[in-house]
Amino acid sequence: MNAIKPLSQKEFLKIRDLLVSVCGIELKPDQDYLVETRLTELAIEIGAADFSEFHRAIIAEPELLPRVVDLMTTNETLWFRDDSCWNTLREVLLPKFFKQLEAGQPKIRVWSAASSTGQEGYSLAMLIQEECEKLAVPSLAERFEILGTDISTAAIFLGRAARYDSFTISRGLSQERRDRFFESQGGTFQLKQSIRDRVEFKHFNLMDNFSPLGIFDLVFCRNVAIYFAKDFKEQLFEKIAKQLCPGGIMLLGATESLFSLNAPFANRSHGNGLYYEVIKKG
Amino acid sequence: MKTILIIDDSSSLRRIVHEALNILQFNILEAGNAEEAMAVLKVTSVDLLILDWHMPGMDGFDLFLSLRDNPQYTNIPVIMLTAEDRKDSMLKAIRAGIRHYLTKPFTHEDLLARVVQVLKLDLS
Ligand SMILES: C[S@@+](CC[C@H](N)C(=O)[O-])C[C@H]1O[C@@H](n2cnc3c(N)ncnc32)[C@H](O)[C@@H]1O
Repeated sequence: MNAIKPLSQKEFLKIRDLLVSVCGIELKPDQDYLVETRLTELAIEIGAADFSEFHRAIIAEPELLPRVVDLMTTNETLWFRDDSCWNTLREVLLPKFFKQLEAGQPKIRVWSAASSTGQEGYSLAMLIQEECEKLAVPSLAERFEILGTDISTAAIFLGRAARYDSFTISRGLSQERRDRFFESQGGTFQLKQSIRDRVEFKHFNLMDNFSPLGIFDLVFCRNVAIYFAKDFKEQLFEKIAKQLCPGGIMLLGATESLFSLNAPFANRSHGNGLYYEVIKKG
Repeated sequence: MKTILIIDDSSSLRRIVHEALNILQFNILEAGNAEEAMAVLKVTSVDLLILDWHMPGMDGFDLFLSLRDNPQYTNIPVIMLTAEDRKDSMLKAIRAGIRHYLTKPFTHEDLLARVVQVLKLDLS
């Protein structure tokens, strides 16, 4: 059996410092077991005999970092997560984007920045479809470009496959939407091609440079910054602000806020929902 | 097609895991205890075990130890999927050689992502 020496307290502190400085992931002093339970598989895979060697290996090979981050974070997600966010989209943001499109803007670009297995991007694609039909402007739906990215290659693979089991499909999705947008296949639910085609998925690490992704009208950055230390959050929101067009909007998870952070956004609210409009200098 | 054996004494849990895995193309087998699992392993070549810890009779941890020490089975990857979330138990499992440990309640996203990685499915 391949094995690795148990993690010592000294090694834990070294790895904890490294995780916060290079991945922004903050561990509490009593979370030593998390390092050992989540990272042992990777440590053994790369042939480390102990966690000091593992520590040296991740410094020497930064390409291992996305694997580390993936192992330390969860992929949990739901359809239409947080009602208030989707009400804001339906009642405020989509009408604003429709106006922009009608006024001649060629397309609206949206980024689901930690898309996990696709529910966030696909929820938006479904909502856009519904709202366009309600307003009798179905052709506008095709002018939304939705990009989903995640650090987990497995989550991206599952997002592209767009097939869900009955438990996963029920988390946040109404029966009506399920019947309308999915095809049932032997107890699993396959999202229809017309909605699948609206979302493109790419592997991407939020620690990297965002410029190649281009400029967006709307960014979902939900339930991912929760893992990051304050400095990393500020850098992340600063980088998102740069990729937003003037008037561009960022959405956070319902339990998240920019409170006490230095970030170039103005708080806006609609009902119980908060959203964040970028402040462009100059 | 890869074969996955789910070992759990709760038939409803086996059904939930079975359904979650069904979205990908796998041959999925089930066993309700260690003895049934051994019987399956004797006649079928299995690519991955999804193993509960607390089961009547031989528990999942002891089953893992006996498979680990048997050259015929030692290379089968194991994902331990268990309600056992005490720090000491988790460390005991990892130190005994269980590489992948998920606690119940689990999310299907996390289970599937693990399975995809462990089986090194072609992600392109
Ligand atoms: C809890 S899920 C949130 C999914 C979705 N946004 C939602 O709110 O339901 C967090 C996701 O963030 C991803 N993630 C964590 N760190 C990341 C990073 N540095 N770059 C890109 N994605 C990351 C994880 O892989 C995981 O899929």
